[in-house]
Amino acid sequence: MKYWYKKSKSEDTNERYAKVFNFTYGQISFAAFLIAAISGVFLAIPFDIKNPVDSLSYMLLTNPGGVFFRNIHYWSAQLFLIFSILHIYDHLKKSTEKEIKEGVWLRLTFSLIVIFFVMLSGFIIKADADSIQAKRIITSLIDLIPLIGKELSVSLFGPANNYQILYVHHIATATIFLLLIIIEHAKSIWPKLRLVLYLLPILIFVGYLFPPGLHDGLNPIIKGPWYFLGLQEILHWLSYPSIIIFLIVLYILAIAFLPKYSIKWSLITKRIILVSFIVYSVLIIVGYYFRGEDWKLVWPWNNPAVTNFQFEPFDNLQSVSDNELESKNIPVVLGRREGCLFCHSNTKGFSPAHNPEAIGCVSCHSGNPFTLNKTYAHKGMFLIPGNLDEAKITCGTANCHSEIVDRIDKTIMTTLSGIVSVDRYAFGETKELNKIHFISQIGSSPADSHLRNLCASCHLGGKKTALGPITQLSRGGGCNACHLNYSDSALTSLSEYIKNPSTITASANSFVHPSLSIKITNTHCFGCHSRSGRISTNYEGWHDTLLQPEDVKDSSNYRLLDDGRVFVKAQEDIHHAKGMECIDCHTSHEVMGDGKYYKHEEDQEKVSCTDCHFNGKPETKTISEVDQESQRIIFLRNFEQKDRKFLVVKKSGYPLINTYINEKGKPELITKNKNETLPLIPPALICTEGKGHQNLSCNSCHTSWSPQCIGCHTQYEPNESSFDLLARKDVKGKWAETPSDYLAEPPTLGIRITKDKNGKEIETVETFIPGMVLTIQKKDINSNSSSDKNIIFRRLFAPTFSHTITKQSRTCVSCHNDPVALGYGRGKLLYAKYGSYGKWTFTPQYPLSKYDNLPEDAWIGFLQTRKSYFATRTNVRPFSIQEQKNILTVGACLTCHKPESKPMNQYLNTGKMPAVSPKCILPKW
Amino acid sequence: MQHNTINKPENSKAEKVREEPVKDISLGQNKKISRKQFFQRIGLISLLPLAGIWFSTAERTKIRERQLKTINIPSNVPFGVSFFGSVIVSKNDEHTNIFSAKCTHLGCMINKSEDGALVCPCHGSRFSANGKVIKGPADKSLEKLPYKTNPRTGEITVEVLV
Repeated sequence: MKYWYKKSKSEDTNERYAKVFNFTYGQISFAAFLIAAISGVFLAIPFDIKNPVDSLSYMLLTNPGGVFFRNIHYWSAQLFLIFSILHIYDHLKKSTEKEIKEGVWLRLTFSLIVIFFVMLSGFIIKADADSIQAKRIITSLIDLIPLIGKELSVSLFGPANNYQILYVHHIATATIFLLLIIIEHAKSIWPKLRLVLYLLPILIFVGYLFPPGLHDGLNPIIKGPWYFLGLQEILHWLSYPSIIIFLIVLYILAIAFLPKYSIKWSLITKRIILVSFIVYSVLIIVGYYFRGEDWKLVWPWNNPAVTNFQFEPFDNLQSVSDNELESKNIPVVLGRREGCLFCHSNTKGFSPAHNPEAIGCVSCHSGNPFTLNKTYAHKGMFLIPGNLDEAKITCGTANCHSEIVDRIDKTIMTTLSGIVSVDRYAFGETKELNKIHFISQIGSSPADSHLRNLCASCHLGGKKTALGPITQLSRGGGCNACHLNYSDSALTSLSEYIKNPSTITASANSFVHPSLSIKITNTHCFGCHSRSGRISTNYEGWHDTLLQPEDVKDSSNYRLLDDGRVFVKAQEDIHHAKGMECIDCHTSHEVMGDGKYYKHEEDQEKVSCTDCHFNGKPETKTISEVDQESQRIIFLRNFEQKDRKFLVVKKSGYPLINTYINEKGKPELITKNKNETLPLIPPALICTEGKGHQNLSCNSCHTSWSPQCIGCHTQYEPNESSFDLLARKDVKGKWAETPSDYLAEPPTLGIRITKDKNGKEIETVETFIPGMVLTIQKKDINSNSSSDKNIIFRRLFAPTFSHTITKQSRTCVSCHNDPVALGYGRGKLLYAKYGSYGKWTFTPQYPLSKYDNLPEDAWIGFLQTRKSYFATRTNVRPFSIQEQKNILTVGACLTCHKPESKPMNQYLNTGKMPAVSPKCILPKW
Repeated sequence: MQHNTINKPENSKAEKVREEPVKDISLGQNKKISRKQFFQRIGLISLLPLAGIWFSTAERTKIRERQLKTINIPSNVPFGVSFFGSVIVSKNDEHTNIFSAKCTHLGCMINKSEDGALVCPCHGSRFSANGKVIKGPADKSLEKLPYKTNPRTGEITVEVLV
């Protein structure tokens, strides 16, 4: 036996080295190596290299003995690595390389690579999601070695999807080599038995405290083993990763020739190695804590890789009888066993795509699929998945709906950008209406606390915390907000579960789970959209009142909502009357967004009336020309027919998958939920041909009414308590709104300025309602501004699409001779004739506001306009004075001529006033 | 085996002539090595064919494992980006491109898209739908794979290395 010392070893040489409990690092490392080798032999019994993940997951679920050895194997290997490094550090510090024979030193240097190889091969042969990518990376790296790279990678790691050679190297080649090297340079063939006996209980304990996991690929974060996270970090900087090969070779050579250097150079080299080692350790920490999905930089507290770590000591200690295992199957889901289904085998009610036999339970609910112990299996589980906070690891897990989750985070229903900016604008906290805002990030300013009190529950980020279906009172809930449905039997199961939660598994009857599907009904939209612009109730023909439930006598004409509001019957939308629901127009790309942030709701809206109501030949797409999401929905809804041509949303280019050109060449629509076919009627000639009304939007004529609130007062009660809808807690101070009148009348008209593809400005007549007409006490918001004494008064009108479309359009006089349409508010608009000329006069019905001298319900004064703080958007305005004059001139004509008369038709078709007869009395301004 | 047969006689011979310097023809006159060292080097050089044999063993293994897998892509593959295991189909109005899902940086499997970009989960490289690098570390565009379209059914077939 040759010793590693050239000179004979004395007793005191051993005294030179650093020690832990009187054992040198080398001795600990050797003992750990031996434990790893022996536990590995036992781990090999349940492990199947042909089905690594299946055999490991089955072992984790059913084989406590196997788990015992795996825990020890894993932790002894980590201990071996750590103490090998410490051992090397200690020896380099004491310059023992000078005392070693040249050949031994060279083999020791080489064994450095072998240590990492044996560790990495162990990481890879478990073949989970991380392992597969790690193997691809390491083989790609070795491939980069000139001349022999490809042959080396196939010899060391084997071909893709085959772990045989790597397994051989792990259990034999590398292990034997390391053992020989250890024996060659260490003092004895066997480590100290005492040390093994000390280490074993520690490893067993640590193993049960932090058992090694199995990454099943549901979590999109891909990370290598901890000791290679620094390398992963470096590789992420390197466009030319061959540099890293060069560096590794350089370091190995530097170490190999260390004994040959002069004392000075030896010291410099060691310092460089030490500094690199420290830097590398920092990079490991960066990689572990600060890198998330796609290796993006995140704070540790936002990093699911860190925060999702579940401390589950002893979670594998469960006992299942052999009989139970033999009689009950643990199904393979997504390539690994899913322990949840061992107990939850009688659950039904899922939509086909979400069948647990295909995707299991963990895909949506998280938790631990690799234990049969109920407590541990349920740890970290989401009883209600799909809330946006966790959507990334529930609905949006890798290979499921990850792309949609990214979009949802940006949609206006999540950000509420427009609501935040308009509110802050109204409160005078910002002059900017065109920025992106996030309701989740609002602070505590008066505007923000106003939002927290009154608006901040209606966003998708709001958390669904209670079981049960989506109702009128539901707010938020992420994916559930639109996609959650309870069947009757699911509701029965739910009530049974609430009575006695253990029935979920114990009951002989099957438990019916709610489904997540594309059956999105108006009820899903109703909770939020029956508020503010109230499009949900408008659409169904209900108008809000100030009545209390007890005031309602004639119930047939009224509707009592779950939140206590009383609505009175009004004109329903023609599309509702025909049986259409919200999702029949609003497509997935529109509602869930297209991955872009939008400032205001109408910017995200893409569908327009003319996509369905058109003359001539529309743009169409066949099934092979549509995007993946549309295609999937077409198949799910069975809308595919050979060569069917789907209509296209012109603004977005995405198909309206429930509309198409039928065999007779006519456009049709199928309602998505009821599957009823409806003809798509082309617009009247007057809409498309007449030059007089070319810049009118469809809704400016076809909106039958809009809900309008007059005389709203906003007040802050500092001493009252209220509920913060965002933080979900009681707070001191309350914002209260007191309206004085709700009216259901045709809307006011105004102008929206947009740009066409060439950047040319287009002015369109649109519908408007009072948006933020409110008075705020300055003392309530601590404003120091000196104007307007103690009050902030705002009169902002908002563009609206009220969803009260009728087939019949507004009459000519309802716009040209109507003070509300023109923005003057309610009152008497009269045309008086004085001989050769006429004059328009207006007498308001509502009193004048003391703050701006306009009637309470007006947008503008009669034949006036406004310069600032008049609307909730920057691209809209009331009619200019000239436009008002033009409208009223036609209005003057209409005082004598009937709308359908020849001159009026001529006026409408040409857009120019026909020849005026001497009898005509035109207005004088 | 070869190692032993070459070295053994050479070793025993060298024992006898220990310490006798021998002129090394190949290394020039100034460098003197012992006969033992000389024969050791000859022995090591004679091991080179072994490397050659290893090289060809690995080479042939690679050929055996080099199986081409045919992936069929339906004719109605949607617009945008779709994943079919180790290939990515990117389709728009004008053309259909098929890319290898292997990241050009270090070979990770790209299996998702974000905001229309293809994202590598390992080191965060991003590629546009036409395979071009948007964000590093990757430096090269995704490998474009040739494909055949069945003129009758419109079905696309791609052959890809597994």
